[in-house]
Amino acid sequence: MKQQPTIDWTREVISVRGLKKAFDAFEVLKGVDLRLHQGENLVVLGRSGTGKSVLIKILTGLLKADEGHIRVLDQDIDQLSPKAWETMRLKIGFSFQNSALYDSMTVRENLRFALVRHFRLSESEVDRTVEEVLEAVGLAQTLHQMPAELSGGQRKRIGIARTLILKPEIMLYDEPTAGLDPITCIEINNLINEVQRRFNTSSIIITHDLTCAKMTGDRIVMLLDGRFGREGTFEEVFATDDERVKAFYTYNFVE
Amino acid sequence: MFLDLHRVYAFVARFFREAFLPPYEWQEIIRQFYEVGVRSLPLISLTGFIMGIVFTNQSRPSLSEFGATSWLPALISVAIVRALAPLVTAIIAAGRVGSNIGAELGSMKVTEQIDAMEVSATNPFKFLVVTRVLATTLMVPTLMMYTVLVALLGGYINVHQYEATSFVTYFDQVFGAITFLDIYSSILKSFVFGFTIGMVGCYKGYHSSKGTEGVGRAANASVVSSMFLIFIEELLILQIVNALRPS
Repeated sequence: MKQQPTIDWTREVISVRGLKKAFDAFEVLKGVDLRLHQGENLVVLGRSGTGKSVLIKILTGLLKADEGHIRVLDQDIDQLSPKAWETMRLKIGFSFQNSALYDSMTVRENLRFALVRHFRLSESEVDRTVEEVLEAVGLAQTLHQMPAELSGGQRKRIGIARTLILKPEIMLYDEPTAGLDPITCIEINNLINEVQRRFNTSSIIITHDLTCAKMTGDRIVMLLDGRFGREGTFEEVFATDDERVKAFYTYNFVE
Repeated sequence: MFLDLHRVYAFVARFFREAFLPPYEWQEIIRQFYEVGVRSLPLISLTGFIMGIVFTNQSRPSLSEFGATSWLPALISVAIVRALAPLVTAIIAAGRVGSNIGAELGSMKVTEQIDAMEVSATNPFKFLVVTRVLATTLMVPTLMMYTVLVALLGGYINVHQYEATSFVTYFDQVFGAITFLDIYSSILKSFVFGFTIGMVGCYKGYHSSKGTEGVGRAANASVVSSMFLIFIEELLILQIVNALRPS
């Protein structure tokens, strides 16, 4: 059972208004409004191809929005200079769907990579930080392994550790449980909650896995036809006669 | 096509902008020097040596018709230094290094590793592209000089076997036949070839898409485009060098 997190509902760390994004003629996001509060785990639910990942890629500057206003940690991101983006990115951790570990580097090198480039630390401090963060995700024994030698769940954990090592204020998880067995899914969900509690992060979790949504989300929003159609707790979101939402619930458990 | 030309121009311009600005990725640059230079040595050694033997062997019948086999060292020297060594080295580097760069960066692109660097506030262009292009630009000329050496040694072994020419006489004739312009132009050519190989490989890999199919295409296009450009550059540089050469 998830422990009650400390959420500051008066402080918005991310605020999005009227966000639009199209790829050629296909409009994926048609005016999305979103708020993420300090310390909150916000789950974004939606079918594949509805623009969930696009949304968080825009928040990190990997994609550009066509229209809309985005504030992250009290700064308008469309007005950030390249230098300011660099500082901003250190405050936003991004856990990729396929982990995106650097496959030519060991786990240790993956974790050190950004750390040694942004912080002036001695070798022993770097090693200690790497070990600490590996212990936090429960994989201290993988230090010298290559990503190809890890299981899917371990890769996800290392991917999360790689973002945590920079001590971000915001975590963005892109399909954290995709392609994992049910037990590993639950371990990852617990890790997301543990990260929220231990590192006091605010998180957006992109998923179509309802168990993940239920276990990790303090609030859930559902993307329907390019806009957020439902918002609330897990029970509130699915207490509806909307066939699209009901089908999502039904088929999720049939799967 | 013009959109693509614009992207190529922007990519090359970004390289020159980023290459001279700190921070410098020294560790990765050294690693790439090793990858491009040291790891190409076995292939270059074998190819260069065989090229020297084969070229000498194939040239002998033509010269012997005119009773001019004593000109073999000079002919070998001019052919290898001016044309064969720069071209063969560049073609081997395009095949071995260019395809490797295209595939590696292509794979990193489609598995979001490049995005992962970007979101961790690390400049992937500086880490991946600048280091590789610098390595190919500086190591291909070095490998070319090494190819000249092993090819001349291959030629010597063949000449010594058939004409019983001594080592000193052979190399005396070899160095007597070439000028500084030959050496400088070959080194310059190799810099251009190396830059082309690195740049094309990085560009194709960095802009690959469509999953694993895209990775294969990036690797293939890196080799094909590099070789095509190398031959065009060879032709252009040859015209310039010939214009500079005293008649």
